[in-house]
Amino acid sequence: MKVYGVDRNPIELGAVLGRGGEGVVYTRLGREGDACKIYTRSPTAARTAKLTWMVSRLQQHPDLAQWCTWPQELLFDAQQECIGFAMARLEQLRPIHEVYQPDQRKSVLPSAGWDFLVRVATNCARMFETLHKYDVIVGDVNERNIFVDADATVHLVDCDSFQITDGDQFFGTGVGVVDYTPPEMQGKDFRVVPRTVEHDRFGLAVIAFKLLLMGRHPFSGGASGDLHQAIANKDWDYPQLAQRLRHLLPWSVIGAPVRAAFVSAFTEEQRPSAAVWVERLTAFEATLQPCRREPLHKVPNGLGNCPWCTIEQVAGYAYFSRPQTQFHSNWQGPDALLAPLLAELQELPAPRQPEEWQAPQGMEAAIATARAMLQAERPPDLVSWYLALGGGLVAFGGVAMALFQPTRGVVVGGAGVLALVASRWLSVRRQLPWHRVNLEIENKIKLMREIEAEWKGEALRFRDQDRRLRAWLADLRGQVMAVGAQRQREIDKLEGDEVSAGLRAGLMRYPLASVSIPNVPVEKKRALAIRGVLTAADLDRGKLAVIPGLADAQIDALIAWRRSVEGQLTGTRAQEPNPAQLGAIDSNFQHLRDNLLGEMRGALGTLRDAGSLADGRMAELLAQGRSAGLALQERVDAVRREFIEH
Amino acid sequence: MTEQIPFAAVEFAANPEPRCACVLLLDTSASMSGARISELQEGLAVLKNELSQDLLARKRVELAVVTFGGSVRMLSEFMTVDQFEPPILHADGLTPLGAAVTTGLELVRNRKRVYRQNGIACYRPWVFLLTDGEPSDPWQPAAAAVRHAETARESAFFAVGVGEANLDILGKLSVRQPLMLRGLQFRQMFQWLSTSLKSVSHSGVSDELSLQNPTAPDGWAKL
Repeated sequence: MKVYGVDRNPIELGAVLGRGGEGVVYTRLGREGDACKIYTRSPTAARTAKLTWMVSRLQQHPDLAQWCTWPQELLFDAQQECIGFAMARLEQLRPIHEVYQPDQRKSVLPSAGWDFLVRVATNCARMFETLHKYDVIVGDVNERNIFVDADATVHLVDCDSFQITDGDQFFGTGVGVVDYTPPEMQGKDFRVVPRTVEHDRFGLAVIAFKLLLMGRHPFSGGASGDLHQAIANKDWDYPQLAQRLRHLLPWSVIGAPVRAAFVSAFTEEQRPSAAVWVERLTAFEATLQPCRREPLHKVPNGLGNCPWCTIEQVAGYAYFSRPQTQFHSNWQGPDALLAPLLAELQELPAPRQPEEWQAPQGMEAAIATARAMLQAERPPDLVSWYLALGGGLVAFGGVAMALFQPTRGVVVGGAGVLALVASRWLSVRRQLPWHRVNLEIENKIKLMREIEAEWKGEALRFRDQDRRLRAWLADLRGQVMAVGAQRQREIDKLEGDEVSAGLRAGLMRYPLASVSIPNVPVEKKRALAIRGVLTAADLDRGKLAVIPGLADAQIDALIAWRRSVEGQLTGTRAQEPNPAQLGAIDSNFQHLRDNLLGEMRGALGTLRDAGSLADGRMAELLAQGRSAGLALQERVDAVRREFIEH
Repeated sequence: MTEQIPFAAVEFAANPEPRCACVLLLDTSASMSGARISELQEGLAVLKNELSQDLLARKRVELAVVTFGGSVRMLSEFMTVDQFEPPILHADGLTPLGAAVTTGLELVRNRKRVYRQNGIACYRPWVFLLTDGEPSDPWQPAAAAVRHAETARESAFFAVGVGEANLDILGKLSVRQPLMLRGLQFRQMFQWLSTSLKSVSHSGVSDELSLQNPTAPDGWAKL
């Protein structure tokens, strides 16, 4: 398709941006900021005239295009028939219904608080104010024509459907959406009855209401449930509804001037102008303060409790909460963590072998010399032996003589005993110095043997300690390796839990009241409800068995229904495990593993220290042994000199 | 009487959009087995996909699936399109069409009550019947219930016949002209259903049903 601008310059269309009921919107090659709407059916003469007027009007009032995709240039085909127009291209914007629907907003604008929504409403009012200033009426106000930017600015699209009056020129809208149509226009033919600025003001009030009151249409909740009827009958009862339904924002939370503007917009035909909305919403926004618990909760000054917190508590729904981000585990495998410790272990000397006692040099020789010398130097004792022998004989002779001559016998015997005693005394006296030296040297030898025994004992002890530490390290290493598997088991368990929690949540979505179960009439359901059996999640045989008046067949039917619901839910409704719980598991096991690694580091340190401690102790004992050997040697030499001198 | 607070409140707090409930009454009697049931299964996926692409319809249209093959079974309770997963269909047994229609009408009535309890606006629910045979149970009470629901504007009832379906009975059951599916154009039919539900859920007009004519030469249905 060939497309030309007003001065017949060819215009190249790019990718399709969107398709609507009337036409297709393309990108414009070479002008990235522009988009081109090409009608599917050639526009009527009236439509072309309207577009021509709009393009020319823009020359005088460029601010018309500030907040909307106002037609900027007409587009023609080869026959110079108007087939569309060029306009500004909107990018990355969200349709306003994604902004006021709580769950959508929480996912697309997670950090938007209530003040953001109030600001969007104010900006909508500014946008209407600009258009109304030039007698441009939006006409077809609806949630799919308004787009919101991340900075809360708003933009209108489908500007070619605006209603425009200029002197005697009139270009109508022809379309509309019931939800945004005021009572006086409900049921009227949009193609025939012209719109007024009051109609736009109604639409603006509905948009502002939805933004401030969590996506609710002001007229939803009417007796019929039908918006057309509710609006036509001005059946507007949000304040009462909010008293009955605890998940709704209490009406009193809205500032009084804004409340009054809503009431006037929904019940009167003289409605607050866009300028009034700008002023009141701006003032209201200025009163908002974050609540202490959640910064996204914005609360008007002077309000006691945070209404958002209250709703969370009583109704179980958080209108504002940052989505729990997908949990990204930082969990590392054990290898990287163990590698440095194992390298350190490698560097330590191998376990000590049980060593032979390496006696200090010359020690054994010194002992042998000492013993030999003592043996050689032991003084001879012949005199005392002779004396003892003589004394013995005399004593014996004396005893024999006493049989015949008692007096002489006793004297001779006594002399013999005396000689014996004298011999022992003489012997002891002569050998006493030698004995003293012998004892001294044997003590020195004993000390050296003790040092040797100590050395051997210590060597054994250090070897055992080394073995024990190495075994402990191996054990810790095994535990560290096993932590990963333990963690995985916990996660699997959690996922198991989550599936059943998810299933329970799923079952709770199935109220008994909304289904027909064979054999279970409505009165029976009411009896069940009184006893707290409200949804499929409450159905178990134990609970049902104690409810009076319930037949077995009815219990069977209820259980069968629960099973069928379960059957539909399982598999398709498995929920992601809660990121917070996953995080807790990781941090627990990280903690455990850190402890184990800490113990490993401690054990490695002990092992390293034990090695040097053992080395020191052994060296010390060796030195002791050596000095004891030297002392012995010295003593032996001294003794020898002494004996030789004598 | 003080009203209880239904658990469902949370789902309506999270998504307060007006709802358009649509219950699909699908014939899964033995005669549907083979190509028919597998095409129908495909068609359900088409319906979900088509509706999901519309950001507003996916939050407004609620689908429920009831099958009747041997017995009437609720395979999927009302769920908005973004939560809906097409259930797996099996063909077996007779055609208790009458009971299915009664169940379908009761379901939408109950669902509307849940909406009302939660202050949620709604469009006129749709009951969409698809059958390839003759009812094996008394269908006259169901026909009376359909007429009542239509005159009270409680729900809009559509009947589509496949293959050997008895159009006479469908004609007596439905206030609207029943349609015959051309061949096995289930996908085209569900595309049409999706487009219709989208336009209903956007128009805000619950009274008029200005739908595309499915009996146009390139449509999926014939009279």
